[in-house]
Amino acid sequence: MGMEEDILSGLVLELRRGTIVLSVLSQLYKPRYGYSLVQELEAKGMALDAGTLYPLLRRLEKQGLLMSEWETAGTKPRKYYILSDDGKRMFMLLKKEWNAIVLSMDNMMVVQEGGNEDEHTEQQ
Amino acid sequence: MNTQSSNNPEEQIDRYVYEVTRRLPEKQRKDISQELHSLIDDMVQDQFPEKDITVEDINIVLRQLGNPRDFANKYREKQQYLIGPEYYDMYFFILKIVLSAVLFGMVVAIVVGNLVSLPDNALTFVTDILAAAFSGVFQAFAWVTIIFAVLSRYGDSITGIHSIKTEMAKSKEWDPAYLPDVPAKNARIKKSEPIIGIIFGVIFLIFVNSAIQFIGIISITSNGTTIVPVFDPAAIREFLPLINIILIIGLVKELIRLFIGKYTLQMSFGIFVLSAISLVLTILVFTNPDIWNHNFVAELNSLFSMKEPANFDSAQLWSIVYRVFIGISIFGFAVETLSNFVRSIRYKVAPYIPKE
Repeated sequence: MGMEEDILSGLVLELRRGTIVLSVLSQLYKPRYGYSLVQELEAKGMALDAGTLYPLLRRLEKQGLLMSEWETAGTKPRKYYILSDDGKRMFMLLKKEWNAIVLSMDNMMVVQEGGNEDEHTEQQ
Repeated sequence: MNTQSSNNPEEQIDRYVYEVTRRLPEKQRKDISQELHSLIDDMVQDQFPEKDITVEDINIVLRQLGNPRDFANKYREKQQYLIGPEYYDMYFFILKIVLSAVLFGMVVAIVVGNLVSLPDNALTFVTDILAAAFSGVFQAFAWVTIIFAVLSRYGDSITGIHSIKTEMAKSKEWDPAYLPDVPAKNARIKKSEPIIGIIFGVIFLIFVNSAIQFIGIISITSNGTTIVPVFDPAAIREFLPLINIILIIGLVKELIRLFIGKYTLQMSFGIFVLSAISLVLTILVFTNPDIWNHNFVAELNSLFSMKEPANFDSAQLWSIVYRVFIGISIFGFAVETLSNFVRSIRYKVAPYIPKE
């Protein structure tokens, strides 16, 4: 069983990897600093470690999708990120792609389940 | 380097952040350092609220962040390689061959050298071997690494020979129309051939450079070891650079064969050019009468207490020797060139036979 779990967690990881950028962009309509974004994403079921998120934010900023600013007014300095105009446009485009993927995946999986009556009824 | 563990939580954080940022480009360091300090602070406060923070608490958070090296790698956009992954296997492969050949060649050369001119004591003998082997291995390592580093950086343009069609190499756009032929079985060069060539080439290179004066007739008697060298020691040293070029051309030829791995017209032509240069140099070196030891026969006779035949002409002996030597070189050159071209042409026109 351990092996099946290993394979599953590997596949899930791969599946989620492609959604990371989209989920990060979706949360940055308002300014957030890195760790608050980690918590926000975790609360929404998209746990992501800081070691992945921080370099990613930097890369997205370099690509012009995010803007950043150091906020030094509070108790400690924090770097806030927010979507740039390009980032907003890119997010809308990506969202469209995502919806198309969801639609075609749903279609495929419905057809597949329909083809197997036993399993279909069992699941219900 | 201070490897004592820290008792101060702040210092522990500093150490971690430094381990990440020191691996990053100078101009990003300050920003990332600040960012990481603030991140670690947030994580600690989140997980250990209203508590005096200990180093152990910090360590729990740092473990969650993982190895600083991996963290830094994620910050770096593209990996920096000295030897690119596509050359890595080949690099280690060649390195192993060359290093073992160097080691072997060195030891043999020094053992022979010491047998002839007995050293003062056994210790100098051993230290000689170690010192020479070390410097030889070090040099070989450096050269192989430099060659592969250059290949990694400029490999695309150098191994343009690989992709056959140069226009394709230029445009960099892959097009199935340019897929090279699968070489016919006989057109493939077995890897073992160039590898054996490289091994012997390297051993010979070392031997020539460290023990050329010992090429000759060696006689070991109870009175000690005597050697009658074939070459004039002083003259042959002057020609060493040329001889080295000849031997290195030989090694380059073997490397080309190893890399391309099949008989092609380009390869045959390249090897033809290299061989021609090498042949010219060979003739240049070995037709020079000075390099031969003119006292060879006399020394040999005195060694075996024989009489020199009347009206013996030493110069004549060597002129026969070098003519034979050069004759063999030209013959080898002709056979090699012809066989390369014949194979390239024959396998090029061989029709494609689909596999069942």
